[in-house]
Amino acid sequence: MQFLQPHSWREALEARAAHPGARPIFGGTDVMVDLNFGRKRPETVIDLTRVPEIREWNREDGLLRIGAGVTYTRAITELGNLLPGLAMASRTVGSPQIRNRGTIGGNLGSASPAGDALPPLYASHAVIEVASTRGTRRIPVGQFIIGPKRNVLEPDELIIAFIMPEAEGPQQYAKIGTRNAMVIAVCSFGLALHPESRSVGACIGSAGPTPIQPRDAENFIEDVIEEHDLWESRAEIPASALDRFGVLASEAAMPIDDVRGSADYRRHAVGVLARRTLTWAWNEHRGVAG
Amino acid sequence: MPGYDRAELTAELKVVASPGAERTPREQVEAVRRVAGDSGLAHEAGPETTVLAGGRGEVLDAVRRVVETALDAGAHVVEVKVEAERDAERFGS
Amino acid sequence: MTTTPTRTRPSASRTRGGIGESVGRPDGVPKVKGEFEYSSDLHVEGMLWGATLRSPHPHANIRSIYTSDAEAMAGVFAVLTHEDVPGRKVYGMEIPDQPVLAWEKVRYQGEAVALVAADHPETARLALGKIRVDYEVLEPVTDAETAMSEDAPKLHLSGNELRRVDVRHGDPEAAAEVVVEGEYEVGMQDQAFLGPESGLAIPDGEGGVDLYISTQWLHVDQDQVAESLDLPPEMVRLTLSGVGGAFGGREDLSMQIHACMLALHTSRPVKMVYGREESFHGHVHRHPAKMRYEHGATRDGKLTYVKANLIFDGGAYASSSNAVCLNAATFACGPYDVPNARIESHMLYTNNPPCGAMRGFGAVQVCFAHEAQMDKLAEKLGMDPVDLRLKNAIEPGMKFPFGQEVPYPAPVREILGRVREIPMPDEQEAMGRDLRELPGGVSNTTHGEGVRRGVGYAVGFKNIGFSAGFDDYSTARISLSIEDGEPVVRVYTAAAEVGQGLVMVQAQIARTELGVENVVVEAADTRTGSAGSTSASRQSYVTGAAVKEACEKVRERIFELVRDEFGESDELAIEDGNIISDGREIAPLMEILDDGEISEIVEFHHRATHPLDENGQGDAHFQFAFAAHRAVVEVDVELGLVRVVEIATTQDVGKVINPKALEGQIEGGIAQGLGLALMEEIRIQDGEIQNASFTDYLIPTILDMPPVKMEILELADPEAPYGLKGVGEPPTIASTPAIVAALRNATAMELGRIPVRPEHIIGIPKKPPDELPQPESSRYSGIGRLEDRRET
Repeated sequence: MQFLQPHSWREALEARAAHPGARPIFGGTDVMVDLNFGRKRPETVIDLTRVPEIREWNREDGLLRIGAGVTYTRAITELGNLLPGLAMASRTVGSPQIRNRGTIGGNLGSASPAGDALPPLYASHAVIEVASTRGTRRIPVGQFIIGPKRNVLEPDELIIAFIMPEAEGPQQYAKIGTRNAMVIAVCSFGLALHPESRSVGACIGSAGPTPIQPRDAENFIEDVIEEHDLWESRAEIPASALDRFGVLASEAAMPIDDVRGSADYRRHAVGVLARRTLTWAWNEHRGVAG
Repeated sequence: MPGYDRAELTAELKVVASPGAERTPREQVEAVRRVAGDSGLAHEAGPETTVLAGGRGEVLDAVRRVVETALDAGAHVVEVKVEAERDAERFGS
Repeated sequence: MTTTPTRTRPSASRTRGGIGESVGRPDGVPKVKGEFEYSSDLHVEGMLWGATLRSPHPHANIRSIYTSDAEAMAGVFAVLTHEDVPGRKVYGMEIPDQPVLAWEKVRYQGEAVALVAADHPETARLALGKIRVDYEVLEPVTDAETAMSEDAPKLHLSGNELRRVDVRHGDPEAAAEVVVEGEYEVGMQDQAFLGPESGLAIPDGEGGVDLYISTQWLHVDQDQVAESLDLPPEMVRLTLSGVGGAFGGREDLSMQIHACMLALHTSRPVKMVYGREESFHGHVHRHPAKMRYEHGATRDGKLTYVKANLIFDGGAYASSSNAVCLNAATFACGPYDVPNARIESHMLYTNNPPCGAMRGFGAVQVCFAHEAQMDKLAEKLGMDPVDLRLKNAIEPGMKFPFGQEVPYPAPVREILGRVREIPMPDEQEAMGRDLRELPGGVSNTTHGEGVRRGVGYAVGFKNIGFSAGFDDYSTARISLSIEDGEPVVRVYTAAAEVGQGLVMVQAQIARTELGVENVVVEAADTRTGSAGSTSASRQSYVTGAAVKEACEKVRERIFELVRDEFGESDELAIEDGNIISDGREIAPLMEILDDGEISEIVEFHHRATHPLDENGQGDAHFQFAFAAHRAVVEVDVELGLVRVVEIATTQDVGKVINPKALEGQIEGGIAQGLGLALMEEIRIQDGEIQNASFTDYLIPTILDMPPVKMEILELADPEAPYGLKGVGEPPTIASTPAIVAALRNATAMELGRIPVRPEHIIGIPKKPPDELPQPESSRYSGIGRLEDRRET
């Protein structure tokens, strides 16, 4: 097996172009498991830890541009205020050791429906920037991941960054696991309020072949908020509307039965998490505790 | 010798199957296994080996039945090894 | 965590490091620093690596095994099958029914079929892939009830019922005013020890072999290995290496015979280490059980009868299932005065993974059931659950349902009463709490919504040591000498230290008895006689007694020398390296010993026990230990997520030998009890393990374990050394039912199955995937390939 260690983004892209199908590695918390179990034996592995460009994040045109190599720990410590939903999700990943190495870029690369960092990206309409020697392109995250563990990366492309707006309203993330740490999500829910665009972003994790944006639920609650002029008044959302939001979210889920949980439970739990996260986010918008 | 349970007597029976007999070697071994199994005392201990374990009387009775079955099935040689557990009383039943 | 000991301080020896002190572990710091040599760290120049080919099928005939391609690989030194087993081709803890390597049939997924030795572990693994086994796949028998039926295929020659134990006590027709029934199920728990199966076999060049191994009982391993190698025991020498936990999962052989076979065949040292997934296939698990119970009582709460039908799934081979079947039958009623009992305990063979010893050994399963029954009864009678138990608690002088008289001490009433009196944790307002103090924790599933508190109690008991006539003796040799001008005591036993702290206990006993601080506990090996198994919570008692008595003999010889030399006739003692009489110093030990060595060896046998007769009656056990638990939980009733707030426990230990170690045993046992209550289960489908990794076999983390409040009773057992009782298993037995009782208290759900899943707590029935969407259907394209989605 060839182990390539490019020192710049240019070098990394050239390496990937020269070895289509080469496996990129950064934190290794996913790739090494595959290698150790013999599930994948790539001929070439490209170590991206020496490429400075993907470890940075900055503001660009009023948006945040975050390198694919930013770890979960850094998302918590450096982006906690700017992207609270993503920080909350990062906090639920594995253990401190895993968070120190694992990256959000890795979640995008493996494209697993259970990726903890994905729902907040969907809820804030993140855009994924990928590059090759042929150039750069940007893909909305909902079109980047197209199936369980499948994304639209070409064999000669690498993920360089993801771009999303700084939080302009409250954000939430909740995840169900049968123990309190180091557990793969049974299901999860990300939510972000966008008062400026008068919209609500929501995303179901680990209850479908990919993360799922429950559009009916989003549209419904946006309508309710508009109808009652709640963005400005910051009054309560009626309990019946919160319940209905939960039901619509639940109906959008496409869960399966497996060792971690039954489909029925997942559907039910998604509904509860949807209702609760919206309640908490809205209470924060109202300036009320809870 | 196992840890918890030690039978008073064990008998290890090995059918040395005779090819020229009426029944095939396979059938000879199968017949022996069936009869051994019926005794309630048997376990397989190798490709042609069966072990009977239990109290002295019941094991010796079963040994007789098994050997007879083997001979009737055409085997000419049955190796029998009987072992008495010295400390059987000390190790329960 | 607070400990409120209720012991009276005995007149302790002034020698430091004796019994009663929290002496540190000699291996503690090395283990934390990563410098401790576990059996998986063993290394010797020129060693080969062994690997095992295992059956992928739970039930199949083997038509042929083709090894030539593997043998031809560069770096491969041996490929062995059953034909290469020199001696007995089967092994087993009770009944030798398990093939060393399968010949005609495999009876469980993971059964060993062939072995490879190669110069690199990767080469060995690749060589396994080149061995071709032609299987005729058969339909597996996947549950005990099917195995019991008339038309089930016979998995072993004498049928599928491995054992049946009946306990018949009193009047079978006894009628009761109030009756409660229940059906209970316990899933398959795993010992989940962190150190994988591993060891190193070194041929001695003369036909014999030295095996360095992680195990629980060196001599029973030696017996089985010698039989299968067709060697006399003196040519098969075992030394205990660093063990990373056991909990019953190392009592059976794993790689012992395999490694020795490869070593003798290649004339090279051979090391074998199982990977984690292989480990799950490579050791026995806790017996799953289905139990039907009926309790009858008078209207004012006095038990009239207990009827129980217990069905255990023993898996493919016997292991120690016989003894588990018996144990469950004897403990099925719980520590209560039961005038009439009909217990049927059935142990079945199936094609599921073999089950055997795990901490609690049959008592765990029945305790879950009988404690649930007692709560049901209390509810029907309108009685407080603890009061009902107090009313029926068994006492010394009464008889157990299996006929044995309850020995003193048996403080069931006391421990129940005291655990209830331990102050309850404060109840905090749920809304506005720190997330870590809510169900779901930092996963942020609730901010207090839906959170309800519940409290539950349970009491359990079990035998200490082996039972029903088995003489599990222990041997200890003590040597006292002068080294570098100081007295040194050396302790030689074959007792397996598996992490429980026996090395400390042995040293503490030697210090107390011989008044010498410098005690070295030598590595355990088969040169000393058997110490019995490190299981059944028996080592402190039995090996402790052997060490104690051997020290006493050494001491007596010293006193003889002193009497000869000084003519002292008064009572003598040794303290802090000096012989004293009535407070006067007579002489330093060094002087008496001079340059000589005093050595004594003792084989300690506990009181005899007796087998059960056909009615399940007999004096079957030589010591009983009791523990009561109270669990306080909080449940998010909308999501079914649980936070265990606190566990309180009282346990009678006879005598505290090492307080810190005792706390460790209690907390560890409770952690395993919590695991069984809430999250630990080997999931099996059609005989195949679905979660053979720590990704999905979940064990409690530090964020799941609550603080534990302990009250320890020291009521001396007159027959035991220092009056001590075994302590390892009781914490694991009643902690599980206490937690589930608390869940029932919070949710009013039946919860008859453990581990309890969120689905059960909220009342969503668990539907197995009986109808997977078909590729042509519209649902299929929407969900993608299920195989992809089942991984991370």
